[in-house]
Amino acid sequence: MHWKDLKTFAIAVLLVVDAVFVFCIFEHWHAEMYYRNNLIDSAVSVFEASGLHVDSSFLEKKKESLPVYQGMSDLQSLSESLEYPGDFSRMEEDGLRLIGEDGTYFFGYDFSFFYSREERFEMPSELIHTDGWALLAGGETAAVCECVSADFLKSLLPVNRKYKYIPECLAVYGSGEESIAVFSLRFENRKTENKIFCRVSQGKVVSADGMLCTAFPDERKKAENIGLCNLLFEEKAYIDALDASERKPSYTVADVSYSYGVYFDENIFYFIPLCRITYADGESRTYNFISGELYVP
Amino acid sequence: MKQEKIREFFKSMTLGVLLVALVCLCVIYIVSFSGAKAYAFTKQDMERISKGSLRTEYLSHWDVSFASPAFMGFSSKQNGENIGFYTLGGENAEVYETVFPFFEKLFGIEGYIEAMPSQDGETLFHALLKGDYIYLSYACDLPVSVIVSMTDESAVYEGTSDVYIRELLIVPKDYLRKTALYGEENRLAIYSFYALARDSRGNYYRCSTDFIPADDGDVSFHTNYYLTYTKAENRVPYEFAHVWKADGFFSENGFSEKVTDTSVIPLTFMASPMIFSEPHTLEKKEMHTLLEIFSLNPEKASSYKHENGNVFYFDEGKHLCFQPDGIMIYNLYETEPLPLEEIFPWGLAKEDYGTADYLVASFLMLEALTGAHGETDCDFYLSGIYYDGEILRISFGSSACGLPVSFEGQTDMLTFEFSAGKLQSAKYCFRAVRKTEDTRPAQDFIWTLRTLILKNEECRRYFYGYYVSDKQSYFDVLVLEEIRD
Repeated sequence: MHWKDLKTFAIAVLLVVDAVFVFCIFEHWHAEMYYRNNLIDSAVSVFEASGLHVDSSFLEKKKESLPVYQGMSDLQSLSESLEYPGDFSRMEEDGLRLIGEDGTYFFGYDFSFFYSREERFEMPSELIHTDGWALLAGGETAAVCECVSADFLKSLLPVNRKYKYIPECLAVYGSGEESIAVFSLRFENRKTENKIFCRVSQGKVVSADGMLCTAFPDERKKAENIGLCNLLFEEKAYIDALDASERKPSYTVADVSYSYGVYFDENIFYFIPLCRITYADGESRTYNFISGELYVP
Repeated sequence: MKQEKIREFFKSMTLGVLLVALVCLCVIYIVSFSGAKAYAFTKQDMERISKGSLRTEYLSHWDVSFASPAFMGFSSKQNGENIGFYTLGGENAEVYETVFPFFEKLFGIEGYIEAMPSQDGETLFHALLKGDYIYLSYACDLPVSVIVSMTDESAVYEGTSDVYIRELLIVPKDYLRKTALYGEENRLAIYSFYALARDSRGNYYRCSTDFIPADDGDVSFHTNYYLTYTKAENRVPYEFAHVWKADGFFSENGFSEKVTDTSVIPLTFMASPMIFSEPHTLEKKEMHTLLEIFSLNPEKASSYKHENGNVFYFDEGKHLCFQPDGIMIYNLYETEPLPLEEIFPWGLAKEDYGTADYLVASFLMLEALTGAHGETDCDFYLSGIYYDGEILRISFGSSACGLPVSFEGQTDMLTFEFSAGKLQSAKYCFRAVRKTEDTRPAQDFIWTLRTLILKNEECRRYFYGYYVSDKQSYFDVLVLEEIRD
């Protein structure tokens, strides 16, 4: 065989081999990113046997790969950035206390937070569960409460070029002239489980409590996620373990959403991805997307 | 010819590119199929953090008042009479906090505990009572690990020691120097220190430390511990029975044989608030709350009244028994224990539970049970921790004003039995105790002791406490007795 023909033959062989490698790598990547169709079908039928109805479209979507964010709770820099004239600040065992003309602020190392204009106050987070407070469905009071509270929170949240915390109003409760807005902080386009409750009276925030992120993470880590399919099997196990009297006729998964919860290890905090599975009747359960354990705030 | 050269050139280029591509694809193939996923955050990291978070949850229920001593005494012979404090249930908490730095050195990494022969231990103990000391007496034998972890949060998960302590004497060891830490005009001699401990069975332990205070600010033994409390309002001047100069009547009637060496003899009259206690009849709402605490559904549970007056509630194997004398028992027939993960509000199940887990479970159950009914002013303390190799029994007593409350001679108000990660049984005396505004003198200790040693033959420990019975509703402080093990 002439070496020119050998070259042609070698090109043909290399083309075939390269194509095979590309195909294998693509298949492997696809298997990593997506559940196989036969696995989806098997899993769905296993879920059905326990009364758990899962539309296959939830499993056909690309697998979520959510990172973990790590940072250090640093109240010293917060203390410096939040100084108002006439303020008194004191580092306590649990956090930072600021006493100024407009009231008292407390920022905990564990992101716990409260604010009040008065010395004695009731926590807005507990007040909304008492008699006299009801959920407002829009209206001027709700809009004013939301605006005033959002401004208040933005003045407290840290600022960073890389990251942002965006307060998002979840609900507004009202009682007479007063209202309480419930906010969640969004981070990297995902909700966090940090909720803040702001009580507004006469156009001003008079008290607030909840969990307020006072620091940004400084590290983003690729994390080992447990996967939606495994969590659905956890749900199946939970349903199977229920007594016949407690079990509903059917459980239809209506929504799967992801958010972040905060965990602390001494002064280091972690944003850990969470997965909430919501059923058609409103029942929901949230799981730690790393360990697969049920998330308890 | 020229065209062929160009064609060959392109073929060579293509071959080269395909070869390079092959090499790259091989590398990518090997890396992606090798299974080496470089996760910076894994499930193990999450478990480690959860354990830290869990520790935080535990610490929110970890209350040092549960393991406060029943009595603390300070002695400084050159400065005057001994000063004591009743500290049960967290009363006079700041006094107990005084000794935490000693615990850190005696029971931490620099400390070591050695068992002593009983005879030597007893001789040394009695000799030390005649000198300067800081004395602590607990309500029951407590593992050293529980005492330490109650006073030092970082030690919560450090396992259970097999050394139990009922009494502890912290004493000076070697003279070091004088310090002007408390003022030039008040230069104190400071000493290194060690401790002698014993349990209620007469086992003695010498607790030593390698730590030697180098700076004046380091923990050391000195008389300022005594001087701090000479003006405290609720101090109790006392002497121990072993050292007290008994009069002729006591000597003739076997005082030293019938009274334990560390029975506290108050040297002045003591006044304490009266307490109020009546048998409590549970309301329906309270009953339902108690049922729910043990995971019985009050709407579904069936009830049955026995001819002896006991009322039973049953729900899917679980049962609760209410006795007419105000005692509630869970799982009397040992059919359905309650898993610990149903007790923890954070719902975490573990494969292996340790003493800290069972203690937190008992604290949670105590909070739930005592909060379910009536109002009570009393504090609670650990009145017993006992492990027989299979079952761990944890008991709680109640106290008022630092003194134990005895219900018709019974100090255990609440008892839990745990095994294999489950609550096997629980017994609860639901009787509320409230302090009143009325303060009355306690029973005359020495006069009452005369009567008691005539009546009793065995060696007993005599102490102040409240004795609650059904015959009345208001109670003073009386002299109580406990037979020595």
